[in-house]
Amino acid sequence: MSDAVTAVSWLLKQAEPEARRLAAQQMVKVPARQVCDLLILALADEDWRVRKEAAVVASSIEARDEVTAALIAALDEKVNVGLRNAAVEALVAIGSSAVPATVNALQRLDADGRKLAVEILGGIPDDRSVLALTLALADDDANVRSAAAEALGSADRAGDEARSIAVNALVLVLSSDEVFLKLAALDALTRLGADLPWKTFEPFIRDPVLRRYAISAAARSDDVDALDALALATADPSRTIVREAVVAIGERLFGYPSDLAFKNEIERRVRAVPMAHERVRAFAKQSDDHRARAAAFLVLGLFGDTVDIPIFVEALIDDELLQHAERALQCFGSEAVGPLLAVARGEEPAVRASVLSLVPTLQPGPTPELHDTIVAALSDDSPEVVAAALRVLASSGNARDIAKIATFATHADLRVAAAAGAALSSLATRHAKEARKAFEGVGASSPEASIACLVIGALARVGAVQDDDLAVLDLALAHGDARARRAALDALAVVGGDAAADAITFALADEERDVQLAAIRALGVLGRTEVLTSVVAGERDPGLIAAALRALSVRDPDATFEAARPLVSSPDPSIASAAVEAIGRLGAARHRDVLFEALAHKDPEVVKVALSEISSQLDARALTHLGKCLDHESWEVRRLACELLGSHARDGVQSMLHARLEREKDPLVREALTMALSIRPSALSSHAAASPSSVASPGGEAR
Amino acid sequence: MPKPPGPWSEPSLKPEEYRLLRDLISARTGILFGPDARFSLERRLRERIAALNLSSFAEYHHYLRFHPLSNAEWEEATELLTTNETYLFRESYQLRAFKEEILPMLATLARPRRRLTVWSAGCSTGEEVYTLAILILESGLFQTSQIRVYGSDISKRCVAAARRGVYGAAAFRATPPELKRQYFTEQPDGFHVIDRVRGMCHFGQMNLLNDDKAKLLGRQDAIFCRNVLIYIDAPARKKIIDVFLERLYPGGVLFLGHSESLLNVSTAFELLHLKEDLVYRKPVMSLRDPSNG
Ligand SMILES: C[S@@+](CC[C@H](N)C(=O)[O-])C[C@H]1O[C@@H](n2cnc3c(N)ncnc32)[C@H](O)[C@@H]1O
Repeated sequence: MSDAVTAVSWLLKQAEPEARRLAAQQMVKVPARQVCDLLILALADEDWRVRKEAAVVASSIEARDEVTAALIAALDEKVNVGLRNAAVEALVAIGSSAVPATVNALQRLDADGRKLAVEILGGIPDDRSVLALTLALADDDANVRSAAAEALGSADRAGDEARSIAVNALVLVLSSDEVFLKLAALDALTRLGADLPWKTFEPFIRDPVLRRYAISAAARSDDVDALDALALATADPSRTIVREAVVAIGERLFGYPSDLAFKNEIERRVRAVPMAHERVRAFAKQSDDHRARAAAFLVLGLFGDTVDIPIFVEALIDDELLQHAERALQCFGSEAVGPLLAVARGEEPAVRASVLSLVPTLQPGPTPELHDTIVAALSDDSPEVVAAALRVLASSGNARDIAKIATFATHADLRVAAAAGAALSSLATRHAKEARKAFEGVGASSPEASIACLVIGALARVGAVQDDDLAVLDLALAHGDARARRAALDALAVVGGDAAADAITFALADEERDVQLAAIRALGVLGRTEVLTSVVAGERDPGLIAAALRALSVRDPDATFEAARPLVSSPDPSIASAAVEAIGRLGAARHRDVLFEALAHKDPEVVKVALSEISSQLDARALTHLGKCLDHESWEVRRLACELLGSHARDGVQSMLHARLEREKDPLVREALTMALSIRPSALSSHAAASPSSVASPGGEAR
Repeated sequence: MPKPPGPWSEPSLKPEEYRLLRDLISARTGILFGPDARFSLERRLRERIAALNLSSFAEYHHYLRFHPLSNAEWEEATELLTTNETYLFRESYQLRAFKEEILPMLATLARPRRRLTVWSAGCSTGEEVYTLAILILESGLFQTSQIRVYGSDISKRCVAAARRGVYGAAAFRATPPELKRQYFTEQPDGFHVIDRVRGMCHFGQMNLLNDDKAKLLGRQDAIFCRNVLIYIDAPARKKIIDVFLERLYPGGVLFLGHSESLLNVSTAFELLHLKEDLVYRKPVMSLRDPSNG
């Protein structure tokens, strides 16, 4: 007997589970002849840690055929369930080379054993497993048949061809009389993202168990009967069914706003269904089921009943529901304006602000009444509301508003000041004369100097500067308030010319960082690439470097690359990250090598930025590099690599992730890996944009 | 028994600490502290030790070198280390020479460019900058829109004060009364430089030892660097003079304070003898400047 055999056998007999686990670990050293018995012994251990270790080790034992045979034999085990399950796990870990033996075993094992074999085949991405599983759909035993259907739901891991074989086989099963088999098949088809005609699902619309699949399929169809069925379901006595229908309709409306045909057809139908309105409204009002509530908003909008408007108003301050509420209100058009403003009056500032910004989008042309309402909102107590009103006036205001808006440009609240500035410069471009009048009395050294600069900047944009404007800007550059200096720089950038460029360049030496940033932006507008390049090379402040790179990239991608490249290896992580980001933003294929180089940076933050930039275009090389990061020493990098790879379904990627999962110790990375392995965007994501067929899934839990 | 340290026991600057700090300061700012300056340095920096809650100057030295917030601390220290004494129309004989002899010369030189640019390097609170702007206006040789006077200083506080352009009576000790009347307006907080002059003047924060920053200035017709180099050690002085040479147009002039000279610093300038003063001029044909080929 070899030393290894003696040692492992001795360890396996110890009372201490940890000793037996060590034995399992050492199994690889045992010669082929004796290893199988010892392995089975370990797989049959009473302690799960020992079994787990043995299952993992099994795949690295050299005598693969012998081990596989022994494991298959263990599937016959009737008493020790732990052994049986551990054998399944070990065979899955062995992977493709265990497939032929498992397929053979399907012919001779009893029903329990066959079910296990089906599980194994489902766990190994391989076309031969998929074929065997399609045959197992006709197994004598009902449990085996259902298990096979379920297992086929992951056939896409074996490639596109395997996926379509699985889909075809599963569709055939749908005409059987076995409810459980059909249920498993429908579930598997959903997981595979199969795009099937309504006809396939129609028979299930009256089946109490299967109808939810039919409903979600109906929402993917344009078939008249499907839409009828869908509309009817919104008033079904079963709450589950109503939810299914509401989610299916609402999500299609939300996801495909330009599909007006669907909107009109379904609107006509739901309006005709008695009780539908009440049932949908109930979903829109309840607050715990976010998904259903959001979808219900869009369906409720179809009824166009202004009584429902308060339901939407509440949601305008909920980030997750805001868009849905807005879309619902859009169904009402200008009819919603009056009621909306009325409801908003008693609400908190955030709601009032939201309503103000929304109202103009509901009205094709601004009416005088609406304009008065917006102007009146400028006297609101809340800066949030005032800022919202100013934002609306930026696009819909008129020349007479300019003077009033100007009074907000130096407001103490920065949101208000910024909104007023934007409104002022937008109106100035349309009403030059009135804008000039607004700052006539404003001296360039007065506290309102920034207004004058803002207006001059806007006028310069439409070619309406005058000679003495430059003197105003020069003086504003000498202003004690950095805001005025910034505004002067913004304006000088538009005015342009050598004198302006010199003044702007010198402003890089301003003692205030905000002014320096404005100078960098202005240099970008002027296209002074040499100065920006020297800022990148000479600056130590990462924020300024990043700003300079950004300004540079607008005008001159090549110069940006040349300037950023040496900084990629800067020991300062924020500088290196700024450089990586800048190069990534350029999006040029020929710069990708530098991004790959950045993956070797010592600081994990830099590596993460590089990973994100690389992942915007996942070709084979990028995948290889991402794969390498699965072994990075920082768990954060590993986790990000998992997440990025997980969104990319390719055969190689899946096995890379599987392999990592075996070794990974960090719980957060393991979680990311498990997530990554369960997200299967598969082939359907490519045609998702063209048709809604892959959007809804029954119950929504499947993915 | 030694007394426990308390608010009453301020740390003193030990000789070895002094040497370390002195070298660090001179490397970063060029500011010179000679053999007798230990107590002066101690007095200037003592408040920072208290503000940062440190217990010795050795710790402060370490802070300036390695602390993540050291950049901000350098700003604070700089305010305390610099000598900012200045006033309007300082050293009038030199200013007369500038107005009467140099400006006409520069007017010819700058005519094709239609712009005159002058830099006051180490401008402190701005008095020199406004003085130069007023002199140029007074010469009648240039239009307001053609004149730019740049002022730079290492001290942030000085730059902000300079930009305000508000001065108390003491700043006017050498100012001709008619010029004070013409170019300043009296307000409750002091005398304000008029807007016409302020619009010609631009200010920025700049360490003269950082030549990247100096490049932010375009080429200059004249540079004034008066009463700055006296506080600066020899190697730094040499570096700064090189920057000036580089920034001047060929034929541009450099004014130093009355007690300062380029002796032992640079031979690249030529000496220009004026009626009352000596100034340095960048040769029109300079071998070191590729821009005049
Ligand atoms: C005494 S004042 C001279 C002011 C003015 N030039 C005059 O002659 O009246 C010296 C100024 O030089 C500045 N200074 C010292 N070292 C400097 C450096 N390395 N870079 C820029 N300025 C510096 C100081 O902050 C101070 O404000």
